[in-house]
Amino acid sequence: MSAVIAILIVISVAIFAFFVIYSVTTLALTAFSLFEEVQQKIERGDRFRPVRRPLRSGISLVVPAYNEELVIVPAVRSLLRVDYEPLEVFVVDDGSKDRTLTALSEAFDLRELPLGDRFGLETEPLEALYVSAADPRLHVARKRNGGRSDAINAGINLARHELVGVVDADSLLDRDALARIIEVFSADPDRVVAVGGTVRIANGGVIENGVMTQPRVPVHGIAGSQVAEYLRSFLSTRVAWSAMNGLLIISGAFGVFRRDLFRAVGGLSRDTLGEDMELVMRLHEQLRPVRPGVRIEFAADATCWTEAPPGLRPLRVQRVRWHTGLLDNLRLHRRMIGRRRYGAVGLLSLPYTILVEVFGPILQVTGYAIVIVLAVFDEIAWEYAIALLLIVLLVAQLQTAAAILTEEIGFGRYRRRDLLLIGGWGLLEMFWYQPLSALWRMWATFLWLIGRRPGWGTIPRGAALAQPPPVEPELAPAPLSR
Amino acid sequence: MESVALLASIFASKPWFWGATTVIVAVLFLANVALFLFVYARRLRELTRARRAARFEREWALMLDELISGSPDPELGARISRFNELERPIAATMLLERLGSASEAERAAVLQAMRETGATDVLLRSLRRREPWRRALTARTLGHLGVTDAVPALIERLDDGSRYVREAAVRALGRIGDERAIPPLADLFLNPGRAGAGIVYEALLALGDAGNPTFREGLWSPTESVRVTSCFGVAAALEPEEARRELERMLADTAGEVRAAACETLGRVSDTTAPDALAQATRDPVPSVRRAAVLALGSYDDPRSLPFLLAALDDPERDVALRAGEALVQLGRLPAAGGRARAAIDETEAWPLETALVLDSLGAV
Repeated sequence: MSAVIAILIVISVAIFAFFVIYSVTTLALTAFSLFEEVQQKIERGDRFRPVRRPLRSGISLVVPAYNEELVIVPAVRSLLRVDYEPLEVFVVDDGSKDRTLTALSEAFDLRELPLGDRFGLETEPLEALYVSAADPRLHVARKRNGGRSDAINAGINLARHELVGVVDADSLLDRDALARIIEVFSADPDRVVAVGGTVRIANGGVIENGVMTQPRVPVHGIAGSQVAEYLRSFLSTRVAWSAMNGLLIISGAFGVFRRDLFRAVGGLSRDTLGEDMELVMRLHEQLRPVRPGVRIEFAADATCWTEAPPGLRPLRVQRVRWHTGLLDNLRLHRRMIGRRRYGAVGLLSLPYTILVEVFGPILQVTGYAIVIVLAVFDEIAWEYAIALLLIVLLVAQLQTAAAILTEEIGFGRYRRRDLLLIGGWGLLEMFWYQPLSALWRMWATFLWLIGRRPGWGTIPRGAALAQPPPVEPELAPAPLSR
Repeated sequence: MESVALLASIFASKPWFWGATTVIVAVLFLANVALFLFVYARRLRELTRARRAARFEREWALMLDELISGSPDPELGARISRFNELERPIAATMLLERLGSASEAERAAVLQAMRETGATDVLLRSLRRREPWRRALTARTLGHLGVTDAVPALIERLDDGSRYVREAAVRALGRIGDERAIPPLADLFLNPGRAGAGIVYEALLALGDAGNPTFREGLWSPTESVRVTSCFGVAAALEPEEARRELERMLADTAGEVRAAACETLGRVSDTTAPDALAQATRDPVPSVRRAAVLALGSYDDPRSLPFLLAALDDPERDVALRAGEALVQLGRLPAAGGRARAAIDETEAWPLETALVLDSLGAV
């Protein structure tokens, strides 16, 4: 019995130590991000608009699409309306089994082009290539199914501009998103090699002509909690990591890269489920030793709206896949951990990620299990447990509050009611969303350790993006909150 | 009472632990409350400001009408000098919007009226405001108004700590077009990093012939990016023949990016005889150079380019082959080379050419 108690004590101390380190580092990152955003605001003011930059690079947007018939047309329309020139859009239909290609053909009057040859990156074979007669900036490629990475690599082979942007088919860009990304490239054109934008949740928002006009926070808990989670992730930590040049990920939903480097490092990997993160880590690993000043940045004001999984099942599938991808990437790029030549990536962001993202869920779930077991045996010291819970709750809520403040100072996109909802979901998620998320991630760790790979799964799409605009946006119910 | 007693007993058991816990909880709770209060106080302030701003916008729109008509109320100057922190940026932004669609005569009338009312002095003082965005907005306003008195102050702003202010000052100096700005702008162009290269390039171009020596000098810069931008500057500013001479020389540059820029810009100053070096550049080891070279050849009305373009259809880089197809289609439209180019297009079966023909039918070449 004494051995069991000793083990429990050791685990409890480890959990407590983790919590202290996690709280201090995360709150420090949050404060740093807030500071950066305030500085930016002082510099640019409320009415900042990106200026037209002569001689700027063209951007080719690559949109991988697999069974996206419901969302692909509004998504492409939104991309073609982005305020940026020169621009071209390549949709790569990755062997969809639905009417993705037909929908595009009907909407954009596609004309067939010869396939040709001489593709740089190796991919599954292309089956057809089209150009839109309605807007020749739009090209559509049809290829044999090979997965998201393969489709993006095929698009990169076809892209013709110096910069390539990757945008998911279930995402919408703000009209000035690319111009804002270019602001970051032009601030340091010789050193910046990739820039990611902020990804926000589109569920519940009002979309008019492919543009998010009135963002809303869904009343539905699963989507609502993801709004709070995305805000914290993008505005409370990535801003800080970017300032330190320690960014480990550019979200697959929206990022812009230098095409020559994208191809030079071999494109996106097909061997990991976290291919977007893997590419960023590979860029760090291959470029930093030879070009020490190279930077991968984050543009908080370049916004992409994406559809969040609306139910628990698709959310679980997504999170298990993400976590498996994370573990793959940490293993693949473990060489950088603790190495000074990789700067903040090796010394700060990788150790932080291992602690918080890898060990965090395990310790979290173990902590819940200990509390449940002790409660069952009536051995729990309630006063200590409640005090700890209160601190955990307040730390988490402080992070949410700081993200809301950053959002308010930097962007002011949401109504007062929506801010309250974000705060509310941020508070409640501690009791259901966080434990579930930790459980899924621990499950993913277990699967990864025994060598089982989760599939991509199917996430229902289209409810948020394909809905026609309501007649009275202010009064209409949010599409996904029903 | 019982719960109070219970709490007291808990505290009594480990006073240091519970004391520390209470402090941590209190600090975290207060921090949470403070952040939320801050957010809502800010919202409230924005709401009040929005109302005041709307009222001011209506008033200022009438005053702007007076300014543009050229016969402002003599009291207007005093009113402008009393504009507060909220009103000034609104006034500047609205003024910029109105000037965007104003004729030269209206612009001159506004400037005259603003000088007479002392409003330009207010703007000049605003160039030294603490907030960078206010300085940048002021620089933009001065540039759009064409206030020549502001040139020395704007030149000073080229060394501002904020990139946005520096770039706004560069644009303003370009708009004003005063030659006093040339030395500092040339310095900014030749020593890059402080402002976007394209922005300085555009300002120098706006200064006309006086900016040309800078572009020539830039072609000799040790910095690769300066040589690249200078190629564009030379092509845009010099006489075509002179520009071709300078740019042909750049085709021998050691940097691929510079050679690519030289090829691209040679295409912008085309005539009837394609430079031999440009044709040779279609065999450059760097793909971006070959891509730019084939595209540029398509704009010279010179039948000698044909064999180079036909050969480029087999280039190992897909993009170069595609551009070669487009260049052949372009060549087919020109008077001297067009006949032979069209005949070659009819005889050639190559997918890059077929692609170019489809794109051409859609107006995309």
